[in-house]
Amino acid sequence: MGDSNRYPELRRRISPGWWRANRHYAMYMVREWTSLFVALYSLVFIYGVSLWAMGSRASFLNFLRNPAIVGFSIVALVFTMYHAVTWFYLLGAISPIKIGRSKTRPWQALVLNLILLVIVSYLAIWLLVLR
Amino acid sequence: MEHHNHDIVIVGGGAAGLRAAIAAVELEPKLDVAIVSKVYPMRSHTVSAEGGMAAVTREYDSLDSHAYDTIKGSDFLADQDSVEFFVKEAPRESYQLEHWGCPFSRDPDGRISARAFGGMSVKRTLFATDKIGFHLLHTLFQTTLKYENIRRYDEWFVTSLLVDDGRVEGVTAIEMRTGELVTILGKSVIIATGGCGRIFRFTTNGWIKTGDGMAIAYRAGVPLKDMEMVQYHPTLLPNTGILITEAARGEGGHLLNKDGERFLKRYVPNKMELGPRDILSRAELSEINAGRGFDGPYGSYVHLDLTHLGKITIEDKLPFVKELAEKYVGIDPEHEPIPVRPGQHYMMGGVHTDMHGFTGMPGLYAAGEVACVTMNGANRLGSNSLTECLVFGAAAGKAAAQYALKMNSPSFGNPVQGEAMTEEKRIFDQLLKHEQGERIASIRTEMQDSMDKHVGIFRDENSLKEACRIIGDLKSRLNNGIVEDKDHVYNTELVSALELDFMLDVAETMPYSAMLRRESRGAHYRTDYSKRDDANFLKHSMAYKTAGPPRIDYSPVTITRWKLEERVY
Amino acid sequence: MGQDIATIRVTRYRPEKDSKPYFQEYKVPYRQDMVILDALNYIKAEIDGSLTYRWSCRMGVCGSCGANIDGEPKLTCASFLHDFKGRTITVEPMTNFPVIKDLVVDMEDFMEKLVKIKPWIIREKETPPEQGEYKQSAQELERYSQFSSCINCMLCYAACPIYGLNEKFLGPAATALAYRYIEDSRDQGKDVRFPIVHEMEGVWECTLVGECSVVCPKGVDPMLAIQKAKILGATNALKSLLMPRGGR
Repeated sequence: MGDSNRYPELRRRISPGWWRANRHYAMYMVREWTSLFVALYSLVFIYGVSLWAMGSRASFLNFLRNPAIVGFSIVALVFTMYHAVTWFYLLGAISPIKIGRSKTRPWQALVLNLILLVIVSYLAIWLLVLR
Repeated sequence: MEHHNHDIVIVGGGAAGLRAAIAAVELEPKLDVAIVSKVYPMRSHTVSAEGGMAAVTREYDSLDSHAYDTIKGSDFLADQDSVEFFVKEAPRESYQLEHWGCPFSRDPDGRISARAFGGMSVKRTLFATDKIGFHLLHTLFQTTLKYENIRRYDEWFVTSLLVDDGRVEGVTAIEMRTGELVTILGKSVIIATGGCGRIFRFTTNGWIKTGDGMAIAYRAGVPLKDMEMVQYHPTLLPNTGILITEAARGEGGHLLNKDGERFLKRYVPNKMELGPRDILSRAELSEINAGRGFDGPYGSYVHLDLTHLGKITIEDKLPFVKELAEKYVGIDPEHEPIPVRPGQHYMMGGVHTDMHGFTGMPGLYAAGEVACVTMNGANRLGSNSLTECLVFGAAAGKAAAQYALKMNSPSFGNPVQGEAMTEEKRIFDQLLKHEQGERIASIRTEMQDSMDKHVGIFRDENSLKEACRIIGDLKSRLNNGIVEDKDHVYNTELVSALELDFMLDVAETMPYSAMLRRESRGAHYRTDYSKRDDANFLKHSMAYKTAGPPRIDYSPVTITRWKLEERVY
Repeated sequence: MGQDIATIRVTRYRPEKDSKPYFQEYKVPYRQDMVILDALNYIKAEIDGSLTYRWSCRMGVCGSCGANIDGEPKLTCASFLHDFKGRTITVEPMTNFPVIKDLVVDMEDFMEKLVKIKPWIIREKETPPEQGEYKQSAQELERYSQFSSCINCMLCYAACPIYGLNEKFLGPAATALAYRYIEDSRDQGKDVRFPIVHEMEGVWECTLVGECSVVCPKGVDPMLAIQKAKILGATNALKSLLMPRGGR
């Protein structure tokens, strides 16, 4: 309707450092970067398991004992845990369970899922390593 | 000058305007309807209505009961045939709104819930927690999006009506984005611009309620009816004037004075907090004047006590009240009473129309708060106005559509083009060009303060005379006002100046009408004539624009089945 | 001591005069219960009539007055001066939107998205209103009522970096509104809305930044709506894969 472009609107481009504007954004970027470590760790783990498949269980465990691999695994674990914690919290926020008039809170989903994580992790470690 | 052509031009995008648009295209899908609004429609002041909308939906209710409550609430100034039409159409309009998706609160059986409200003898106010206006407006607006033939001019400010040989043919409007004045022609025009609360300092109304539609109709020769009937709502937050809905009292809230007394037992012993708004506002002010109010930094107030309602009622039915109280006065209504005082809220008066929204001027219709049908008479019952917007919005839409189907398109020739050019000069060559003068804001503040003081809840001959004098003075001062912002693009100060110009014209009709009504009826209360005088004043005041002060004439009230009686609650 | 003063730094941009925006500072008398909107109104009335901004209801329900205040998208009518650190507060137009003048931003992109999601009740058969309302239980109402509270203030778009990077992203408010209609028991328009919501620039652009729900003044939680819409989309796709002819 009408010639509304005589003075065009001022378009502003988002700056590459947008995520430094506040804490929430920064935490979000860290969470996104964790995917890099998860991907790298998967490759490392696949290689390790392939050693077991083509050689012996001992070669797999030796690979795991390598200090560089241990170091990397710890770093990857920290990032993966950060992702897991934020993810479980989000799950709780997205799908709360209704009890009477109130809903479950996200931290409750976080705690529940962390407990499940510990159980499943223990089972995996027992199956692969301790047995 | 750029000009556009449509079948129907609707000025104002609130409940009444949107409903009228839908009614017109449903009557005849080929009609081309334009909605011209100075704000995006979701910002229309309908959005702030909280309590509910009244309609007869239950077996324990009846149309006669709703009609009687409304007529008695109006202090018998309502035109009874319009009220009968209103109560009959109200249920259908409510269900239609529900069909369009309005998220009403529900009873256990799945039906729309109804609550008690002031002046209503049974529970008939349908509600959506305590945000009915918000849900109603968004439902209507989103529904208009499905009709391709409803086109919108968002943020276009209408400045005048174009009239050719007594017939309305369109409007002139400033496109905010570019600052250009454009002519929008229509076979019929519907005014749905709402009330004029910003004429007063202490009001629930938002910034945009500046009586634009009333002024342009008034200037075109249509009378403004019953302008002395200004509704003061009993429960506004002090200072901000933010509305605390009547539903708070409908759900059981109490009004208390300084002594913790439910003082309404001395004013409306039968209805108490559910009495009509005019009586309650006067009661509160009387208590304050007698020294039984609380004193605060923003004036005296009384208490609205919801502490006995319980957490569940407040959370389920009054969540917005809780939010507003906590945010703006720092009070949790579950534990403390809310400070409230009466203030301007609604205009019963407005552009004269019949019950089909027709103003008497060929091609011109009006609906909603801007119109005075009148079904609200001297005092409106709470929750009737949203239904009023739907019923009379639909009626005006249909009437305007039927008229448009019979007429040819107006052409952009003389005299319409000449009128538009004159209008352009008035705004851009005169108003905008002043280099020195008084600030718009100072003239506006003075108008608002004087209206609050002299045309308030209690009036008398002297205060009204003073108001007439002050308004006249302000009008001449505005001629020498300055608009500091000289831009064309999005000039909100120019718009404020034009709005002030409208407001002064509309404001002038109030004390003149009030001065000549030497009685007290409904919301119009005179300390020098405190009784209702049916023998002399059972009639509507009609204010006509002249070169000088408004000329006040009268028209009769239509009485059908309900006899006059003393208004006691 | 003198009167307490607050300094408001406002972005000014007047297309007819300025090639780029700049900050202008105004000194405003400070009151304990002032909101930013009160400060802006004071400036416009007493100091500089050309300051341009949108507002109407002043009670947080019309959605007109969104702005970036000290870097965060907020409603000026609901932002109390005492909530900010110090006495100097910066007010800028909402991020991610083109600026028309001063604090007024262009809303046309959002208005188009609003129409795109078809925000009205779609039904195969309508019963006439004379026959009464469509029954809906309180539980059915609760499935969507939270998402119907959106006042279209667009603070969520200002907060969303994905929208900032890609204007085609459907965005929080529009998706929440689409989801509101999908979940409304009276609506039968899932098939019409799903393709719009589940296109590439629909919900799948969202990477769960979550800032939209943080800034939303009405508790709509659009991030939740987007994730729920993703779940609906995924299960729907799975169903149509496993049961191409039947089931819905």
